[in-house]
Amino acid sequence: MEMKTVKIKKEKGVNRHKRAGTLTYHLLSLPAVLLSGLIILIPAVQTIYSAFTTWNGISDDKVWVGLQNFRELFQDWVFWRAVMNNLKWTMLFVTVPVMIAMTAAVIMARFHIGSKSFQAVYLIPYLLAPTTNAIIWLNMIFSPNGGLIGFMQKLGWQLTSPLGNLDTALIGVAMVDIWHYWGFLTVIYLAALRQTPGDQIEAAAIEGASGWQTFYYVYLPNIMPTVRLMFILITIYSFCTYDYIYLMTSGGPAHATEVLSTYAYSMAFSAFKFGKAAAVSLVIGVFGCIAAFFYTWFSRKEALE
Amino acid sequence: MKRNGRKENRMKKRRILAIMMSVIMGIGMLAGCGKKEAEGGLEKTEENSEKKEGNSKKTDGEKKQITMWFWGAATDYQETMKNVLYSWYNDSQDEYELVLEFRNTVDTDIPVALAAGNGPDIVYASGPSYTSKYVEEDLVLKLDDYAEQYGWKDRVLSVMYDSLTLDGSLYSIPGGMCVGGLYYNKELFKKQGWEPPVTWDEMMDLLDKAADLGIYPLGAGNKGWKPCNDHFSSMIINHYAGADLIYRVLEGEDSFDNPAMAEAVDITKEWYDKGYLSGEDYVNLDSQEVIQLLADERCAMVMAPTLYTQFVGQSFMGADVDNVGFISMPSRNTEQAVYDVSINSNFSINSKTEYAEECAKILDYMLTSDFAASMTKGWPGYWTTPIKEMSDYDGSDMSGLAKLSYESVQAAIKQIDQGYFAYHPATFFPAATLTAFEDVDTVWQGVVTPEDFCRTVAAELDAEIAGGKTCPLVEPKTD
Repeated sequence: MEMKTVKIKKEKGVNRHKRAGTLTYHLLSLPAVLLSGLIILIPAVQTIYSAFTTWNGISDDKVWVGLQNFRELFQDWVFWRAVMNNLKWTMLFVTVPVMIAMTAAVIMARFHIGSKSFQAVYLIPYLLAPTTNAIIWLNMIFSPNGGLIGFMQKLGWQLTSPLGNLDTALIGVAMVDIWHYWGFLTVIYLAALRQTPGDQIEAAAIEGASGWQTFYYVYLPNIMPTVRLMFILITIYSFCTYDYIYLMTSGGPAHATEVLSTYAYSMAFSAFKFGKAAAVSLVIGVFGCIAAFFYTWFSRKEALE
Repeated sequence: MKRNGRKENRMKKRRILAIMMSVIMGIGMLAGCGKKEAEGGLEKTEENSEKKEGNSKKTDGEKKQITMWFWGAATDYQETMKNVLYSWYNDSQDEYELVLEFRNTVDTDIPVALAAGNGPDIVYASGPSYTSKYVEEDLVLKLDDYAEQYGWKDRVLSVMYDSLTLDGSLYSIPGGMCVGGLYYNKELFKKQGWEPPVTWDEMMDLLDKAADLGIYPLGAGNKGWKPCNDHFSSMIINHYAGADLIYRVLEGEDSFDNPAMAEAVDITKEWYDKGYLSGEDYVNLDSQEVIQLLADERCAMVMAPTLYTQFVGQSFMGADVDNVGFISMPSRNTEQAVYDVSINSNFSINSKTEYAEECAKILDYMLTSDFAASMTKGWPGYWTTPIKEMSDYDGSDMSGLAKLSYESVQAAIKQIDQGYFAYHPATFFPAATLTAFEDVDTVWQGVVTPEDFCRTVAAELDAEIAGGKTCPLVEPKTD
């Protein structure tokens, strides 16, 4: 009987403890939930609703048109060009800066000579405002007047800016954004690489592992969670990319660098078709949700592992 | 045991700390909301008291503010605007104060502010297509009474005045008028033995000569401002096909999707393909760089609106300014000088303002030759106000860029008043049509055919004409 009473008391204590724990979690998450609700959820719901209306962005009247905005979008070649460009941009960003940053991070993790000064230099583009970076590239590199390309032309080189050509314009802009972004990635990878247990690296060295083998079998498995996380974040970022494209080409020439965000912007603020722009934003949101889903899935999987 | 006890204590402390943090954050947020409400309350109170002050006369020595937003022009130009407009108004009385605010994102800030029931008292717009949206929502005032009071209809060029009306009512006044034409470098022409072209054939001959010389026939570029496409394409269309083509299309007499328009659009592609529009560097040149090409004798001419005069001073230093000439672009079908007209800005009065009378007084001053001349001296090229009295204005006190700007527009005003003008899309096309038209580079790059392009623009224009979004137009002369 006494034993039973003690057991019940213990269970009650555990339940109370659990309840208190749950309450703490709820209290802790409350600010985030409130912020998300006010700043993200309400505008998101408004945007979703606007996507099914013909709203001019100023009027209170939003005329419900069902799926008309989406039908028009799907028939517009510029929309599909923007989707394709977003996919190309994503492909470029999950490969090129990742490889550059990984190589730089591994080199710095293994050879410490000059790494501190190098770190200071490669972070400079990331610290500069996108407007500054864009002006540097447009006026000091790509300009046929006072830029590097103009200088090379004067020397007799047959060079032209990549931004003027339909086939190279997107790569030209991506190149500038990658130049600005890879330093940040390097910092992330370097921080992850430094968490690799020293005994594993030593063991690999004793076993006579080559540089590549050490990277592949020791470093990479250790930094894999970071690599995966950055992959997801880069994907999300790529579908929201706007600044460098707007600053450097505004989506031109002939929509060669149009992405969904610049397309939505011109739809809203040039043509005053906010309803259609909201529909484009919804498409961006869908891609973002897919990436966010994978991020959550990976995170949970890692937590379980 | 002891270790476990310590661990439990630590856990407890952490939990307490977490709860305290949550409570503090929650209170902070509530306090924030409360503060905002309190501030809102305060704002309302101030607003109310301001209203009271507005009904009475000045009570505490503070002036009532009349706000005006403008785009983020260069600092020197901002100073000119302050010295001319701000000083004139603020010195003229001591009850109100005009407050000028320069914003780089003015085109997006104003619609958002107006939609929220705020915004400046004097509403800037980068063309009538913006204003038409505000008119639809009653965000700006009808100016008919003020137009009558100040006689604006008789003072402003009718083609400009009419373009700012909707359903017969005036909603804004023009800022600066731009006229399209050709800038050329007199020194280069002298060296090459060239004469400024008067006929279409002379112009085409000159463009080919420049290409043979290895320089760009025309300086042009859309770096940093993609809508520039409409300057160059519309000038070619207007002077190749005739000024009445765009007029008929805007009046709905012809569809934009017609063979004459497709042919004219195809000519713009031909010019682009031949490299007349700065070749492959079109997207790498901004307006300033285009003028620099002219100064460096790397292009024969620059085909642009007089808005570009504001860039001349930075490339043609000092006395070199006199080397710049400006002529109308020759037309294929007439020997008359035909100018492409547009408005670089227009100004309305916020329907929520309490100081409409004062705003109208300021707008009226902006339609005087005194304002236009003073602004042109400090900011040549932008403030060429389309008022009839400018054609008789004695500009003997002007020199350099101001003289260039004043003379080019003075010559244009005479021609425009007689009906020799053509419509520039930036001012006269409704918003969605203009956006579609600015995509003319898709034709130049071979992405779509001229016919497909015309069909796309026609679809937008037809819808906007049906929605009553075009303004009344004066028929241009074509003989």
